[in-house]
Amino acid sequence: MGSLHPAFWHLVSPELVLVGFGVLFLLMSAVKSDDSFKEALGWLTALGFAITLVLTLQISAAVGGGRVAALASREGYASLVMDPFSQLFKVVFLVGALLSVLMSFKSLRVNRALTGEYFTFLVLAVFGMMVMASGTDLLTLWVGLETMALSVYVLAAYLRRSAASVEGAFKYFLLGAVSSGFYLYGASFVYGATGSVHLEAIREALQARIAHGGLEAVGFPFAAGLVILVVALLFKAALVPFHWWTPDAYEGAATPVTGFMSVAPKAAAFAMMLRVLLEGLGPVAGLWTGLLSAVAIATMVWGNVAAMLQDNVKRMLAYSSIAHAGYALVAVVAAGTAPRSGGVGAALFYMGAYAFMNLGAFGLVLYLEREGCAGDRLDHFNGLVHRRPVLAVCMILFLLSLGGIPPTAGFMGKFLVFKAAVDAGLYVLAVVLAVTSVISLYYYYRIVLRMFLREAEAEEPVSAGWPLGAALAASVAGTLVLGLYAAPALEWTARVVLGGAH
Amino acid sequence: MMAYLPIGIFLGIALAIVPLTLLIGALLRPRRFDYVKLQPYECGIEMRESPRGNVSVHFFLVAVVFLVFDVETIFLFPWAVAFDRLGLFGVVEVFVFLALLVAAYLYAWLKGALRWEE
Repeated sequence: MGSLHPAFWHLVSPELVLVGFGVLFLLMSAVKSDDSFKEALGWLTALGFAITLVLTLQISAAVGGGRVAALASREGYASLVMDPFSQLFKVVFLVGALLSVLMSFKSLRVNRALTGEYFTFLVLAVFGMMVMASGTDLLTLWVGLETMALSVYVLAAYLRRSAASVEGAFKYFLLGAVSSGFYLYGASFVYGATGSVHLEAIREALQARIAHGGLEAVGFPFAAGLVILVVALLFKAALVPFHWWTPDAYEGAATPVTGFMSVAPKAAAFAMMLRVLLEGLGPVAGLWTGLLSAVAIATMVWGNVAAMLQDNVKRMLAYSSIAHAGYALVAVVAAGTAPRSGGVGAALFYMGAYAFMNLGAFGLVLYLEREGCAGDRLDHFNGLVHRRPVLAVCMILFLLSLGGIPPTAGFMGKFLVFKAAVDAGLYVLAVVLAVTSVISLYYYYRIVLRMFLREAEAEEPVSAGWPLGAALAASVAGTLVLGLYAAPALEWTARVVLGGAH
Repeated sequence: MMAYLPIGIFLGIALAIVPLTLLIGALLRPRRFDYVKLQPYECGIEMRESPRGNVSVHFFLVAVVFLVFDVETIFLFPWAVAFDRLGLFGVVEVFVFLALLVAAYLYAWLKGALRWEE
């Protein structure tokens, strides 16, 4: 049994609120089941996320630039910390989840899949992510990871009458279960080699050993465990060559779920990856930066090239999300190579920017969705600018941002990642990033071309309730603010330090 | 590295034992197949129908509800063993855990997982 921080209950209050809401929704959805009630549950979910967001910001302000261990082992090694890194990532998850809830109403009604359990799983998934952002020992992180993953498997299969949804979710589930096994296997090697599951203790053990005999002194079992652990993390973030589940799972899942999956769990996977690699395995960065550089190059190239070949917008965005994970991985490698290159802040900013622009793009697909048609073929965008000019302009903004063109959030994100890579001396990665970004413009502009130059074959209704409109407006605002007035966000991300830098 | 030698030997024996026994069996046993021998084995009872039939979904639900209690006992055991050292926090933690499990059980109950006849 470890030691609790005196203000433990206050520090974990956002997480407690989420668990409370999740359990409450579960029981409520078992008691009542008419549609208006379920819709009310959706609004309660949004309220729950909003309360959690406020509490998180409040704790964030209390913590400041420091690091508070809410839960620590008897030896004083932290298991759950509140620091700028974890709090900012939590804000990204919560904003992504809030936008996803607003986007869910229409889609769930169209697909007749509105249930109370949907919101339960959404809430519990975010709870798992928050633990992933705060956890600083391998087991706490794993518990968070599993809570998130199990909830997201169910969400991915939510359209249970659609074969594609079930197939994608099944692939996701099988590979996810295997990767969880990999994670535990790798973690057990690391534990065996260093004698602790706490990242700080692992770090100290590694430093002591390196001080004795250099990088070789860490030994083969540890190196094997490290690689196995990294493989599990790469799977969760959907990086090449562990991305095979992504297109099927993303295409099959309900569109709001796809938007959520591509944003929040991905950010959580990166939070966990940064935490484990930089805080625990920072001293042996030489062992993993080369590996991850290769993965980053493969991911950027494969994701972008494969996206060029897709006719289905959701599948295209799935490959584009793989490519974007590759860009963020460049920042991770930069942070590992040179702790002062600002790689951590860049990765964090990128995930925040990506949340707005990607959820915005999925929101547009949702606008085009109607009964019996997911609205995700490229043809559905034909002539959109004549039918709904405002929506077309929004889509152009999101696509510009995804392609990394100023004045958008995507440009700022890519600029920061590029800068971190150059500062760390990773010129090859920086060049691949720039070149593949240019390739990506090709498939983003295919949509723009269709909106302007093709005539719509039939007058298809384009409609949505106001919640989707509000979510879209928020995405536009986020994309523009992070692009034009990024100074406050940059100031926050600059305070984020992990591992060796403090 | 020497510390891992026993594990390596153990692993080698574990990997060798199954192929080895299969090999010995294949070499020694007489091969005389007939209709009865090729049927699926079920305690000597004669086969009546194809084993690939539909199974009521209730069996699955019962298994899931069983899992709720199974996980509960598995977690209660280590707590009960170390409960004097965990102190008040341990008690609170276990009761939070139990409350979550009861909520899951209540959900299954309210959803009708325990109702056998429809």
